[in-house]
Amino acid sequence: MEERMTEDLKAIYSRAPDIFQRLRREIDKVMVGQTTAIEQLLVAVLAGGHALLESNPGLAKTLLVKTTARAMGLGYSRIQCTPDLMPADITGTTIIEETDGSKKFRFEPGPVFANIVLADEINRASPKTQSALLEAMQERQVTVGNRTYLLDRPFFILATQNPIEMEGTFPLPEAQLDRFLFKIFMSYPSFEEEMAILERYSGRQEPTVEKMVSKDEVIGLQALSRDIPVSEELKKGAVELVMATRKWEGVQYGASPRASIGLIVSSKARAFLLGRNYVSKEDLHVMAYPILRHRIILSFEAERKGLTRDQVVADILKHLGL
Amino acid sequence: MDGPYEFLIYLKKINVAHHRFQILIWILNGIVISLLVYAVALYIGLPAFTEFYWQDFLPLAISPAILSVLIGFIAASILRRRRTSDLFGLFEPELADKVRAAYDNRRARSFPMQSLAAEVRTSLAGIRPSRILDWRQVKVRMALLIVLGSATAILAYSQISADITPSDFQSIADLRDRALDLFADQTAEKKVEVNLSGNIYGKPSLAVLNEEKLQLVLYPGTEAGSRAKATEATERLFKPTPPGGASAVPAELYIESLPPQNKEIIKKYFENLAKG
Repeated sequence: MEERMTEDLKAIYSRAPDIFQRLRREIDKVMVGQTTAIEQLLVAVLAGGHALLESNPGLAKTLLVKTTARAMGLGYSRIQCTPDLMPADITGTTIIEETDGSKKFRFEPGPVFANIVLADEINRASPKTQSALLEAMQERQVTVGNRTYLLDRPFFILATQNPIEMEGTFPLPEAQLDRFLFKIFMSYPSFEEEMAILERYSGRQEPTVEKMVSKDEVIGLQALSRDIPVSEELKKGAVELVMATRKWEGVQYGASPRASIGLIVSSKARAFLLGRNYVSKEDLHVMAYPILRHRIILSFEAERKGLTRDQVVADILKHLGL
Repeated sequence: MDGPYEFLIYLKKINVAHHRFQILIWILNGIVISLLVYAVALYIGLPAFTEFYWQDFLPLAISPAILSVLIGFIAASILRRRRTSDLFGLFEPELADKVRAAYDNRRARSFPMQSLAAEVRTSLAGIRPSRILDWRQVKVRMALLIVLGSATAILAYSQISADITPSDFQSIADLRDRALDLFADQTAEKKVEVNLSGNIYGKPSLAVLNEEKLQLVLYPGTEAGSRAKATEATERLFKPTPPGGASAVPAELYIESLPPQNKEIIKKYFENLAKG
């Protein structure tokens, strides 16, 4: 059995560059631009982490997640978070079902029972509902009543936040933000990109996506990405980087050790995604931003001066020569 | 160590070559710094000074040379520690990343590691250790060695030296005297005071007046004595001068600096010495 698994992994590893290439090509059929966001999303899926996506409305967040899920052959669901959304609306609930004259309790799984879950505008949900979702993220299981249900693997949550409308929202506490592997930014497209979007979506037919990889292959790729060798020097660099955030001028609270783990795991996943069998300094550099930007809290003084979290990360990276 | 992990054998070969190269650099650094220190010592006349005062005790007589070598190699060791050349730094940046990752994960047997090991083995197999070493470092040091060696030789066999007056040595001589005073017993001191020797250089005092030791100190220097190494034996002697003429004694600096009541006895001493 183990030998078979090893053989399967070997086969997946040999096909990995081709799989990633086809996956990117398929996503690019639908998405225009947003290369960084797509790369970070795929890295998050490979690394087995969750991501928080921040962008203005209409920048194809839902389309990106749906496309990725479809191209990866994964189950997809979407939760539109509102203040009256209850935890049971996410996790599922037990209902009474009548079969052959007898009544039985049956668990009706909620939208969280999918491989890729898009929690749209998570900051609109009440803290209670947010907690239910975040617990599912962390434990990868859901407890309803006295029964625990394991979530299907791979399991990936992409939560979105709208940065411009803060009224009637419940911003995620810092401790819960730490559970997201990445915070991904999506920016407005350039003129050329927007022209391409017009071209692609103003006709009769919209581009369709085909399944490029199976669920088992995705799980295999996740396992293989963890095996990508990383040097001790880069591990030290990651720890130094995270530790530096804790005593950097202008930073009130630095990143936790979860950030160090996330930095290495995501660097491995990025290296694998780009067809490399080792982690380079560049992986660490590129991954530092989405990993750290939601984990550091700037002091009032620093924010008043207009310092951004990405600037702090850039300064620390420069200081450490990474 | 089989299959792709053979890269460790190639890496070991490169490491041995790199280690030898590092030792060579350390030796060259040591020699260059030693020469530099010795050249400075020669310029200020330190070897002549020690050779003169401790001519009977070889280790002290050649102490400037010994110290130069010691300082040179200690400095070279510090340099070596501070500028530790990374073995992986010898490779191209991409290969360096690969080799580093492969070496740090050499115990892993995963598929990515096996493929990385195979890539690294192929790359390292095509590298000749001597080709990737930075021989320019050796050339620069050899050039420095030639220049400094020549400069030291010139300094050793010429009269080029810093304009140092006897007073520059005063503090050294005082230190030495204090050390001698600490260990010398009273009888030995008395013996020195009474029996004036023919050696007119340095301390102990050359003359005693009313049981008072006169602070008359002569150092090897221009015409006042001799430089043990750089000058002919004949030049070390004082030229006979007619008695009474103060100018006949080139050690006027010392005489002038003495209390007037002691001048006469010192003048006589030199006259006697010249006659003898």
